[in-house]
Amino acid sequence: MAQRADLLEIPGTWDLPWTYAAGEVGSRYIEELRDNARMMATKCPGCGRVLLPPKSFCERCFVSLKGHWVELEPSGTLEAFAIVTIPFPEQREPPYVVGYFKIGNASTNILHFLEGVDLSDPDKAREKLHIGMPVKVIFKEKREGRMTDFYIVPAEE
Amino acid sequence: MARRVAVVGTGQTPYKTRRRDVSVPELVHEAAGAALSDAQLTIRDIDAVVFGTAPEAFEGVNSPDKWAADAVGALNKPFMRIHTGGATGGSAAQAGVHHIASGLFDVVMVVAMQRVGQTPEAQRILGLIWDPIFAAGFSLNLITTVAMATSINMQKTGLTEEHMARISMKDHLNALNNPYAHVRKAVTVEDVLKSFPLVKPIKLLDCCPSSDGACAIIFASETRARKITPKPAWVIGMGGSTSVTTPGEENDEATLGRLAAKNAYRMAGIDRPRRQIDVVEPYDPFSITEIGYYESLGFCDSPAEALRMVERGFGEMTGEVPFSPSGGVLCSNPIGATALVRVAEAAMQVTGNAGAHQVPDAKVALAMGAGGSPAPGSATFMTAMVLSSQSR
Amino acid sequence: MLGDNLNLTRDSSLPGVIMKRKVGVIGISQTKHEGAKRGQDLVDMIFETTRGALDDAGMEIGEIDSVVLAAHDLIDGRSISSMLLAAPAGAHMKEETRVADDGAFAVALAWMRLMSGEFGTSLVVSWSKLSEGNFDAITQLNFDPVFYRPVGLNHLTAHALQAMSYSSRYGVTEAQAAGVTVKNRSNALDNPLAHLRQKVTMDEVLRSPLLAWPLKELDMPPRSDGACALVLASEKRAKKAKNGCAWIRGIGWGNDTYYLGDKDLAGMPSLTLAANKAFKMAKVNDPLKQLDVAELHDVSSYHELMAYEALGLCKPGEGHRLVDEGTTSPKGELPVNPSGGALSSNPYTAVGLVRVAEAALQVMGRAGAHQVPGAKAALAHGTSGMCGQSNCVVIVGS
Repeated sequence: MAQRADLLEIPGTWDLPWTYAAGEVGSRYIEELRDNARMMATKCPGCGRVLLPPKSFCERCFVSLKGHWVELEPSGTLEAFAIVTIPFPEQREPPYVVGYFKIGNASTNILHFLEGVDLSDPDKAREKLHIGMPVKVIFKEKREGRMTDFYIVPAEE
Repeated sequence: MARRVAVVGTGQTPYKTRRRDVSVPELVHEAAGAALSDAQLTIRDIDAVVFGTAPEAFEGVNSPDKWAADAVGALNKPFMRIHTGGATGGSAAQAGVHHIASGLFDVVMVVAMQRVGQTPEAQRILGLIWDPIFAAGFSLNLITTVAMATSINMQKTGLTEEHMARISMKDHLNALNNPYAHVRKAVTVEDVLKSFPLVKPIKLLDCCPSSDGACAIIFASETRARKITPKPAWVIGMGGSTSVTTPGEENDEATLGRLAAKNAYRMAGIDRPRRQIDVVEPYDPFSITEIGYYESLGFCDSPAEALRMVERGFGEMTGEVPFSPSGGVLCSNPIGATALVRVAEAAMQVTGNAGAHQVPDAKVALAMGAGGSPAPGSATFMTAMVLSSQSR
Repeated sequence: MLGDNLNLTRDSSLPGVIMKRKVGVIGISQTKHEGAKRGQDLVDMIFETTRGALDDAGMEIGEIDSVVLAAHDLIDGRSISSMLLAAPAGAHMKEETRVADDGAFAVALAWMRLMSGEFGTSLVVSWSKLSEGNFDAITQLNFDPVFYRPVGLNHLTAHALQAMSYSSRYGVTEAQAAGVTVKNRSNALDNPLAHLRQKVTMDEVLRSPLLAWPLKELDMPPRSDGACALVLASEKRAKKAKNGCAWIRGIGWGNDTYYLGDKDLAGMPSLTLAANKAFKMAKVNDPLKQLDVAELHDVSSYHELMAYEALGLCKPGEGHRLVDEGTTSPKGELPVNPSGGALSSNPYTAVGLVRVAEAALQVMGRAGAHQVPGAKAALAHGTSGMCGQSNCVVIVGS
C-alpha cells in the first residue's frame, strides 16, 4: 500500500505548570543550606544509614526519619562522573561534569556538578578524574535556597 | 501458580522513527490484529484487555489507553492500564498472566505501545522523571546516568569500550534478521568506537533509538491454550523487583536484575541458568547493559568472567546462550512496548516461530524488562519472565 | 446472605471458573483530605498513609509480598511518577506494579495477584495532590487531539454533556441532582477525614456559580490532596488480622467506548457490566435489599444518580427518587456515601480506593460517627477515564 507523503500531522504543545511542595525534610535541608551553610542529612534509627539527599522515611525499615537529623562534614569523594559535551534541552551549556558524590559519612550518594575541572580537553580531563577522588563542598557567598547554593570541587589528595 | 498460563499468539508492528501513517489507536489496532491473527482468534474470544504504555508526554495525550481502548477490543470488557516506565511491557505481561492465574479469566490480550517519535523532545520528557527538588537541573537523563555507571564499571572491572562495541555489533547484525527491527544496519566494532560520543564513554551506537511501535500478546489458561494452538509458550516463571538506589551504593541495578530473576527462576525451577536457559531477550537500551546481565542473571560469577564471555562471543547467535537474537532493545525501543516485545520474542523462540533469527532448538527463554533509573530517591523497576515449550 | 461462608463461588458466566480462595482487607488508612497539604510533599503524604495501613494491620513492611499502586503521571507532575513514589508506598525490594487508573482498579489487580496463589499479602496505595497541578489543563489532555480538543472538550464540558443528556432524557431537574450534594455534604460532618465538612442547602447548591450547564460548582467535587492505602491478605493471614477483616466477596470491572458520540451519554453501561460481574460472584441478586451500604464514585451530583440506575437500584431516570425518599440517606434502606463521597473529598486518582476503604470500614464496624449500624455487606465503586468510561465495583462483607 503506497503511503501518501502528505498525510496530516497536527501540532500541539503542553504548557503545564506545577508547584511542588518540598515537605518538612526537603524544606529544612534547603533552609540549612541557605541560612546556615551546612549540609544536613537524615539518619535511620533502624538501620543506621545516613541519607543524603535527606529522606523523610527509610525505605528499608519503613519508619519515619523526621527529627533524625545529622550534620555532615563538607567534604567527600567522587563516586561516579560523566563529562557532558553535548547540549540537552533546558540544561547547562556544555562542557561540564556531573557526578555522584559521597559527602561526609552519608550512606547514599548525592548528585551534583563537579566544578573547577579543566575541560578544554575532555579526554584529558577524563583521565584526571577517578572514582574515590577527594572533593570538598564550597558554599556560595550569596545563597538562594537551592541545590546550587553550594558547589563541589576536587580537593587536594 | 495454581493455574498454568501460556502465550498463544503475538503481534508486532515494524518499529520506526515515526509512524506518520497511523494515529495512536490505529497503531495499537495493528498489533492487536496481528496477535489475533497469529492465534487465529477473534476479539470475541478475548475476556479482558491489559494496556501498557509509559510516559504520556510522548503521545501528548493523557491516558492514551482510554483513547485507544476501542482499537484493542476493550469495548464492554474489563480493561486496565499498567505503567512502570521502561518495564511497562513486562509488568503488563505479568498483570495479564495474573488475570488468568487468578481464575477469573481464560483468555487475556496484553497490548503495549509507545510513540516516542510523536514528540521531538524525548530527552526533555525523560528529564521530567527526576525529583524536582534534588535532581532537577543536574542534567540527569538516562544517558548521563548510564555514562556514570559505566565509568564506575570501567574503573572497577577492566571493562573497555571495545567490550561494549562487540555487543553493539552483535545486536545490529541480529537485527538484520528481524523484519520488525528499527535499526537494520550492520556495524563493525570500529564503527561503534568511532560513532558520535554522546556522553563519554557512551557513544551513539552504544545507545538505543527512539521508536514508534506496538506489540500485543494473547495469554490463555491451560485448557484454552491447548485448544487454541498446538504450540503454546508456557509461562513457567515470573517475578519482579523495585528498588531505590544510586550508582555506587550496594544494591545497584545489577543486584536488582538478580532479584527479579530470582523469583522467576525459583518458580521455573532454574538453578543453573547457563544450562537451563537457551536464549535471553534482555532489556538493554545500552550496549553495556547486556554485559552486566551475564553476571546478575547467573550466567557467570564475576564481572571479570563476564568480560571474558563477551570476548568469547557468549551471547552471539552461534554462542553458548544467544542474547537479543531479535537485535534487542539496542535496535528497537518503543519504550512502553519494549518489555512486552521481549516476551513476544521469547515466545516466538520457544515455539520455533522466530523466522530468520530463530535460535535452533530453543526451548526455554528468559525475557527481561527494566524501567526507571537509579538516581537520588528514585526507583528502578525490573521484571523477568521465563517461557518454555513445555508446561511444568 | 451475602456469599455466606462459602469458599467456593461458581461464576457461570465464565465456564469452569471457581473462586478457590478468599481475600480480605486487613489494614486501612486514609489521610485527612485537604484543599492543599502545603506542609507535606507527595512522598510524605504517601509514606504517612502506607505506614498507617501497615500499623492498622499490625504488620511490618517485611510481611508484604506485593505492592500495587494507582497513580497518574500528569496528576503527580512527574513522568513515571512511581519512580519517586514507589518507595514511600512500601515498594522497595518488592514485586511492585502500578495501574494508571482509579485506585479501585489497583484493588482488582492486587486481588488477582492474591487469588493466583503467588502472593499472600499486598499493599494497595493511591494518592493525588491536586493542589500542585492544574487539573483543568491536565484533564484537557485526555481528549483526542484531532477530533475533541479543538472543539472545547475537557473534563468539565464532557461531564456536563453527560449530565445534560441524562437530565433531559428523563426530566431530572437541577434540584433533584442537587439533593445528592446536600446529602453527601451533610454526611461529611460525621467524617473527620473529609475535606469539605460544612452542610450546604439546596438553595446554596442551586445558586452556586454555573461552570458548564447544567453543572454548577456545588454539583462538582472539590479539588483535594489526599492518599489512601489498604493491606490485602489471603485467608490464612487475614484470619489473624489485628483489627478484623473485610472479605472481598465480589469484584468486577468493565470498559465502555472512548468516543462520546458513539455512546448513549445518559447511562453508564460499563458500570452495569462491572456490577453484574461483582454481583454474580457475591451472589447478590437484589442489591437494594442485600447491600447495607454503598460508597459510589460521585463524579458529579448527576453521576451519583446515574450510578444508582447503572447498579440496578432503581429504573433509569428514577435515581432522584432514592434521594428524595431518603432511601440513600444515612438512615435509609441503602445509605450511599455516608463518608461524604467525592463531593466532599476528591483526591482524584485515589477516590475509588477511598470508596473501598470506606466500604471495608463499614463492614468491620469501624466507620465511627458515619457507621451504618449493623452493616455486613458494602459495595464500593470507582470510575476511571471520562464520562464513566471504565468502572470497577468491589463488594465487601464481614
